[in-house]
Amino acid sequence: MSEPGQENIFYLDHLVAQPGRAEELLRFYMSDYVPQAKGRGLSLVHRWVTPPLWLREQSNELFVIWSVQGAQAWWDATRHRRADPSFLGFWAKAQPMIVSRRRLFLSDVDDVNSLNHV
Amino acid sequence: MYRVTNVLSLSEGADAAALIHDLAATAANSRQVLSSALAPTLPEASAAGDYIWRLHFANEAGARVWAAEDGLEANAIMNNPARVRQVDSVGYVGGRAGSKETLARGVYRLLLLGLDEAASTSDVAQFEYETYEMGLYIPSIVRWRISRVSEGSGTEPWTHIWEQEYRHPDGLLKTYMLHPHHWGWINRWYDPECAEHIVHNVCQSFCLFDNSAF
Repeated sequence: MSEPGQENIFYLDHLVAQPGRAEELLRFYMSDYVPQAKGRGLSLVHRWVTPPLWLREQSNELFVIWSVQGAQAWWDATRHRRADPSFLGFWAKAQPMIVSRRRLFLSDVDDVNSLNHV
Repeated sequence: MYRVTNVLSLSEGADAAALIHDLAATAANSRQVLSSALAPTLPEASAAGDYIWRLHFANEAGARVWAAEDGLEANAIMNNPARVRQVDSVGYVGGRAGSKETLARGVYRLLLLGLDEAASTSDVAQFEYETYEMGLYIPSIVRWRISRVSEGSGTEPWTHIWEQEYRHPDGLLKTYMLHPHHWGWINRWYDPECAEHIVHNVCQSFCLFDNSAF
């Protein structure tokens, strides 16, 4: 359990890659998106792939997890992004490599009470 | 009940006191206007506009009668570039609303929303429900309402208005902003990085009130 305002808030990018293109998508994500996101104060926590081999004929699914500390930091990162919408260019260029994507925001279950006590 | 809400930005050098007087007179003179509240916006958090003007009518027909009679003078004032620089205006029947108690005074906040016209019916319905749901989860929201716009004008094609009342500005600027229902859940409709993104334009403003908008 974290101190109020110090909870880890996680961003999960769940990307379903086009068949055979997951490794290419991840390379592009790392080279183009990651520097932008780090510049907004996000910390890269995990890069997971299932299944754990690069499929040639079917889709891999990528799970990229970021974190910030506290809801205020979440808003700070969001405001940075609004001021510089260059990230939209990344998603437009990446779209041909993606079947579907979803972004979720998560916390440790032990931090739910603290996060809701505002 | 039919409502018309305007966010007014005054022109540089405009006489604010005279403007308020003249606009209020167009409402006071009309039998169609059930209530009128014209209040300066609060300076915190980049509130849009200089004044919020809220008008209530018995129904949409009453608003149309007013617009064709005393409202003509109001529109002439609001369309005078020497007095008013910008008006964002919405007319609407009140949508889904909630209330925890009645406040005699407090902070009224509005958010004008422009949803993607290509958004699916089910996505719009889910967005409206989750917006309503914010009032159930966020303790500082005392009264709230999400409504579809019947008629709008201004900087963007407004489709919805999301209204809330709070006891204090902190209820909006801190509790509302920092609650996880906001950043961890409903924000995905506003976020161009989320697949659910459908809200393309927003205009937020707020003011003190001493007569409830609800």
